[in-house]
Amino acid sequence: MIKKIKVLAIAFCLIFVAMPTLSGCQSKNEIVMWDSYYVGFSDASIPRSEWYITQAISRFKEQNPQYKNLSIRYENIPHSMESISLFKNVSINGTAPDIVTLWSSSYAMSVKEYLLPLDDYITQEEKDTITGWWSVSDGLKDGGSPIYGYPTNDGGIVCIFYNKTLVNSLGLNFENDAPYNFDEFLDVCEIIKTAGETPLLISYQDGSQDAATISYWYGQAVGGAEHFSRLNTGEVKFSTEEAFSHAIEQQKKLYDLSYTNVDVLTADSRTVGNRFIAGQGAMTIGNTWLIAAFYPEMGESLGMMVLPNITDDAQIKNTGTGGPGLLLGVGKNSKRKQASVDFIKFLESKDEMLEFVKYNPRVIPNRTDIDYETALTNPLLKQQARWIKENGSVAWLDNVIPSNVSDEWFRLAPLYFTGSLSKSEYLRLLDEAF
Amino acid sequence: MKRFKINRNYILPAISIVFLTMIFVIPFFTTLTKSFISTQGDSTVIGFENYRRLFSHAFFSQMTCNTIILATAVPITIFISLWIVYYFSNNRNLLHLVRVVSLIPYILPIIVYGFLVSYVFGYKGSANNLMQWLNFEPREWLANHAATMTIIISIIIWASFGQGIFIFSIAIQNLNKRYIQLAEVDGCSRMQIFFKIIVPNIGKYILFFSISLFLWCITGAFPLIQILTNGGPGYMSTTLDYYTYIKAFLSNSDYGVACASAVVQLLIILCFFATVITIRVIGKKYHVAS
Repeated sequence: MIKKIKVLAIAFCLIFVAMPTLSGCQSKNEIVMWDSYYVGFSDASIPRSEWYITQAISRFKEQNPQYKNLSIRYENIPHSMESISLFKNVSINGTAPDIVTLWSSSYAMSVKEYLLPLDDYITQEEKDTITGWWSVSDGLKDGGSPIYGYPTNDGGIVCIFYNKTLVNSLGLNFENDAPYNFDEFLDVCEIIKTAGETPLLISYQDGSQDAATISYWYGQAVGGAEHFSRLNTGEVKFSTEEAFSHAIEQQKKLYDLSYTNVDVLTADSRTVGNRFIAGQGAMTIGNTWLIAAFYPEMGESLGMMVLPNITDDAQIKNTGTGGPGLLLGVGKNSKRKQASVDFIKFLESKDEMLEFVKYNPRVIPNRTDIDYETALTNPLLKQQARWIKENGSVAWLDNVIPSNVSDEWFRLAPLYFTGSLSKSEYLRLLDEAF
Repeated sequence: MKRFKINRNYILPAISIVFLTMIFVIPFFTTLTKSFISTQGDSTVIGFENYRRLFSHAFFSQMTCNTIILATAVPITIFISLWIVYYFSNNRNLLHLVRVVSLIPYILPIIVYGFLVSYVFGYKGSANNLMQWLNFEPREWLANHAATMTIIISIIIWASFGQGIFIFSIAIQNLNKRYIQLAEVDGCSRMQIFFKIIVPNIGKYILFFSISLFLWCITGAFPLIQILTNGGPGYMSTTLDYYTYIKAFLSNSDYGVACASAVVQLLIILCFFATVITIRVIGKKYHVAS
């Protein structure tokens, strides 16, 4: 009996103590990579050997004989804000991966103490050809130092997608006569609403809508990221920012005038997207990746235009919210720092970005030495790349302000738009969140 | 040399104690400790700062109220399940059938209810279809605070009354039937028998069920809120346990405030226990005195 109990006790110890400890172990010649980008955007149902990242690892080892015995263990993590907390937790516990992809800007900066500064590894040529260094640099500005990673995933810009068939049937022609400013946009919405159609399908449930439109309209007026960062230093406040106040007032009009879907508070982005594809609304607002969802279903009936300018005299015009969304970084306590950086450099090289675009045709590579006209195949993606080249883009406000403030912003915005919170109260609570 | 002997009677309890220490005691003290230190970069002791930040949150009172509102499911569930058991207690076969059927909602995962209800009460769901059929305007049920809380409480009741029926049917079966027969001979109504004989005599069972259900309401409604509303709009349907999740795992996590929120939940639970114990102690004294 005693023997059986002893066996049980040992089994218990093995299960609850030894296994979790062993699972965190890493062999000497191994790099662990946590990522949400290289597989998250592709079809995870295809065999692992066909994944872009698996093939990239093989190419890396072929081209770098010194790493032929190196093993790169790839682990897919959620493409969400939770990945920041996850990385923070494992860094505190000393089990952080060697390479990690994180949401860039303020999200990544909130865990910068666990990331290796890469200034000594990055070459001038890389700084000149890769775009978006501001989003991975301390202080969130070009030329900022230390640099905590390589910027990647230029997600294009946020645009208005519209149903050409539906819009044209109402006598509107956005291809030649798109609404230029917000007042013209409201006029267009009125025409669509009068015809009995829903002008705009959007979701206020998760905050991404706010992040997209308010960032743009506010950023257009004040000049973008550099001004946004003054909120962090306390030089300006939400409650005293005329441009922010104007932007949220305009956004509220869309709800007040019933230009949005009725269930804007509870419908999620996916539901809204499905309704747009089904022709239940004339327009929707979203990022580049929606092209991949809409285009195969709607084909030539899918139209795209830039968001209306908040005013005619805005500093930045005719583009959208955008910029690199991810940071490829190295864990501060990595035991294979050089190998990790070399692998990141490999992924960020021109040849590999072109390979990735072939594999994942919904990505706009963030390198200036890539010709978008030949590298990209989708006409809408090409159009986005042209807009970015001509007019730049406005940074996401939530990428610049601290993420806890963004959280509060996304939670409180629906209360303001529906009238549950007054504007002054809403702005006061946002200021208090800093 | 004296040989060390292990008393086999202590081995299994010892394993349980070690297990409980790992799963409950250590996390409890870790949570308590972290609620007093800064978890934003440096780990310095900051006293009650995390609590101050929690209490000064503009929607803290709303979140606390939501947490307590969910607990109203406890008396309602107890009453419904107890009444059903009493109603069918004269027919053992029927009671057996009711007991089995009512356990079905209990064994279904709560997350399934969340999805089902989100389809029913979504804007394009069957509740609004019914409203339109009855010539009423469709409503955004899950964007309305009162409607959302009512829906969540209803799900808790629906998912847990089967367990109540199971417990109370055992309790009533163990009850001395002569009390009820004597009361019936004395001309007591069913309602009088229910409140004057049944309820006082199965107090221990009610206490057990109410404690377990209360704990579930305070700490277990998280998946429902996550699926139905994400705690929104704003913080309208956020409870303290959901807020703990927001602060601990979303975005730039702030474990200090999350731990403080968890400790406040624990205090609410302790207040409930203190009230229950006080009522029992006073009840016993009153019983002895009378």
